[in-house]
Amino acid sequence: MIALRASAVLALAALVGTGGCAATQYTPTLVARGELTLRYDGGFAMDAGGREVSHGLSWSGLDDYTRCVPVASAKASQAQARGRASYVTAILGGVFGAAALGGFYGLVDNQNGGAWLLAGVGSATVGLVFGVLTQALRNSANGHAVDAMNIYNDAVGSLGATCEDLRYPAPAGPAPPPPPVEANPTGQ
Amino acid sequence: MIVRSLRSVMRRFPSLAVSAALLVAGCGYTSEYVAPRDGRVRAVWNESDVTADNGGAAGIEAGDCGLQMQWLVAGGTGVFTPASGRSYRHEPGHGHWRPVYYGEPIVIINPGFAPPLPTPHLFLPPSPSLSLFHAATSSGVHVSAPSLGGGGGNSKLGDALVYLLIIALIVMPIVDLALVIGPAESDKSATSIDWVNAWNDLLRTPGSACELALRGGQ
Repeated sequence: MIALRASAVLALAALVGTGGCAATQYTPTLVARGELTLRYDGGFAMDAGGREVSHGLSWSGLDDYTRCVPVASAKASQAQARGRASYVTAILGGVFGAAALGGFYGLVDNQNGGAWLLAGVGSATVGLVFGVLTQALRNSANGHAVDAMNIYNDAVGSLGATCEDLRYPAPAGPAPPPPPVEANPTGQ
Repeated sequence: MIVRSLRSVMRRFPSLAVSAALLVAGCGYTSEYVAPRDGRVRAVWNESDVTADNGGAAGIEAGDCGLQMQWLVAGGTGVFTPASGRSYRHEPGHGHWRPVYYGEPIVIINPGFAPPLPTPHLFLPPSPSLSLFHAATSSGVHVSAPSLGGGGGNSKLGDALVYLLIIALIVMPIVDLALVIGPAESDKSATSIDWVNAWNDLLRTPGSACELALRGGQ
């Protein structure tokens, strides 16, 4: 039993220790004025104009930065709400997960051993549900933030403007004509 | 009594595991955002990772363009000469890059708000190589339900159930804490972001392998 507990602790330590090691290696150098770029260093962050604008999971400030594109700003607000919710579910998941370890008392309590074990597994199950919810909310928060970045860049950032100074540089040339529609072999 | 209650719980364990698997499988987020085919590469969200959407530049990442991207991400500067023998330059930009796009002049209608752009502005002249292509991949998480297997007498079954509960009590909190503490993202996101950033830099560099490939010059 001691060996089992030790291996569990080691497995958890290894899992936590290896988490969040990924990081982006390349910093973009040809960036339009106001354009948002993404990077990752243990968490997602967005830069513009040589400074960090916002980072996950709170994504605070992103809605304000993209305020001149209402759809992007709404996405950013949704990202913030989901990010905040993920903090709550993470705390609850951690509490229930840690409380589950109390179920091991059932190994020394001969009279109520089964009840302790059941309570522990029940607590772990509730914690697991909160853990899954946390992952779902994190994915949703980051996904909405990336959507906000893309929608904003399409309308403003990549075209060389910012919401603070909404002036676009002139285009380099006229819009190209639409490609001709080709008939398929069946003639339809 | 204990054995009976344990057996009742363990009977429900497969359905609990299936429910958990369904929850895990459904915890990704797939964006409804559709990138316009304008010659700019984007980082898009797919389930639980960032993937690269090449903005319609299908296939140009093959050949020298892909090699130059790898070279750039690895810290390369100056002249890049792949095995093909052709040389490509890339110098890091300074200050803001002035976007080069093609389309109608953009006129502000409501001050403080970006005007609607019904047709996307192109960041490179139109080219036959512009075609919609998503490099996105999705990954799923599969959890298999444990099997209780056959059983003997009540005492043996009771012992087996107790051991199963103890194992569950060891494993479940670890999985729980890993879900709570561990980041949802993987190395794949960092790699995709690097590719998107390097790719856009090369598409914006006249004479780079990617810019030439998109123009059909490779």
